[in-house]
Amino acid sequence: MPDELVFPMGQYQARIPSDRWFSDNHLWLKRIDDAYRVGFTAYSVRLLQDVYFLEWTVEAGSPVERRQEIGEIESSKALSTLYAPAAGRIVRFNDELLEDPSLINADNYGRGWLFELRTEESFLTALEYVELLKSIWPETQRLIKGQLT
Amino acid sequence: MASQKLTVVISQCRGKHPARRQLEADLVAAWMADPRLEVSLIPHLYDMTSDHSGMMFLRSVRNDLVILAWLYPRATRWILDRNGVKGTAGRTELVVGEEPMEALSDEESPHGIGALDPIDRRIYCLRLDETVGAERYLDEVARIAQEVALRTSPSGPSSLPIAERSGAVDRNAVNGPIECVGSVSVSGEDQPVRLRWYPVIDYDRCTNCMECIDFCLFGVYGIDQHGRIIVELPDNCKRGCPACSRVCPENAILFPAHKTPAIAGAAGELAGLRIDLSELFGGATALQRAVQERDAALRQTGRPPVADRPTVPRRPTVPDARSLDANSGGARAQEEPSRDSEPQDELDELIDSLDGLEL
Ligand code: SF4
Ligand code: SF4
Repeated sequence: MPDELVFPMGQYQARIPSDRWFSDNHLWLKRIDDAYRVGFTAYSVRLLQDVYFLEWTVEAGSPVERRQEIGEIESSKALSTLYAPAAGRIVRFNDELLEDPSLINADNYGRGWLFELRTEESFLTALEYVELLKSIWPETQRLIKGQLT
Repeated sequence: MASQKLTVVISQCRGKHPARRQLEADLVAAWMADPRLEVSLIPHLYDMTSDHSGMMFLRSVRNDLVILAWLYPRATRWILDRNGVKGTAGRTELVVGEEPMEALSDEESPHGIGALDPIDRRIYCLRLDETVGAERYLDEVARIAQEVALRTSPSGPSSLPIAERSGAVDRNAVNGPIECVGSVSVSGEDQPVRLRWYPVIDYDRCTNCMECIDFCLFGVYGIDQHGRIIVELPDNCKRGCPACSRVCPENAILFPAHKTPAIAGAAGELAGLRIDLSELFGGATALQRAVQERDAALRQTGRPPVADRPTVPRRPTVPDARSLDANSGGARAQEEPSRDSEPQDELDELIDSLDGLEL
């Protein structure tokens, strides 16, 4: 398996690295000790574009449910509530981002990570995630287009 | 012309926000000294009921009117309309950030059912914002005064006399030092208002489709004698529940006190500038969210939720019509080409069109 897969979004090539897991709400998860480090996939970042505000609405250490609201994000192109990818406990947030959320754009798979989550759930492989992206692609465009008019 | 003064009304902020109160006081002080203007203070527009003396005062003004409120102009305009303060939106030139501060530009072609009985006078709605210097409001109102003077000379209709407390400014209504040579009328400061929460319909957008009346289970909506949808029992609405605004296919329902600018009535350009990706990141769809909000409100009142009852027939969406446009011709859409390549190009267009929206 190659180091990374690519999902083409028009001219833009969203990189999907194979060294980590993915959630169906467009986050990557990488094992760090007994937790997962979590961040936005290139697909998310492409849709968000320049992030300039990030706020967490739960405390570090909080237990979360799958799909529980955990924060808000604002970018040049979008506003969104953020949701937990799985049930578990959010161990900590990336404090560096609160100072400078643009790290999400600069290095989404590295320094731009969002939080660390302890969870028992399982996630998608890079390959499965790319398959998912393909299958929801028409719907995603409809979502965006529907809001533009 | 000297006899006809332009009425300028300031609708006060909720609470005692010091910077906002200061801006109000600064504006009142400046306008009281201006012989061309008749300046009045009223409580927050959204909170006054229709029989409040501040609202009665507004209805008594028959000529052109400038109203400044801590609301998006579109919200101001339709709150006035529902309270019988009729007129056409005057064009304003004051711009805060990227947002043109006008209720509705003349070019916009409304496809809704429109306001009932509009009268031939202008209402200029300006949004107050404490981060905008007083001078910019002063300049804009001076500009409007000139425009109105030119338009209505030499013999315009005159304003009905109003109860006026000459020279006396209520210190609770206006704090801060006011040195004045003119007068300000303060309407309704004796009638306290409470914070209200209810939907306001923008009839330039509303098509009278009745989805909101079907959706709301609290009897907020009604139908008037002309068969038009109205907000009949506003105070039945559940605080914090903006559910029906998400259900309205035309985005015609405003909640002027909602924190989301689009729901509070920000101009379409501002509201549409950012897309909401919550659905993508795991949130509910707009309809699911509306149902959740309504059911939460039902539970609060001890009534059982009805989430599983399909009360809302989903309006037909027309994505196909649009993709046909985008592809200039239906042939390609029918061929169903490699699903991967074609829609992707569209996303680029979409994202580019977002870029294009930026001023
Ligand atoms: S749902 Fe919207 S468009 Fe339909 S009647 Fe209600 S306000 Fe008007
Ligand atoms: S917000 Fe809720 S309670 Fe209020 S009018 Fe809409 S559906 Fe009814």
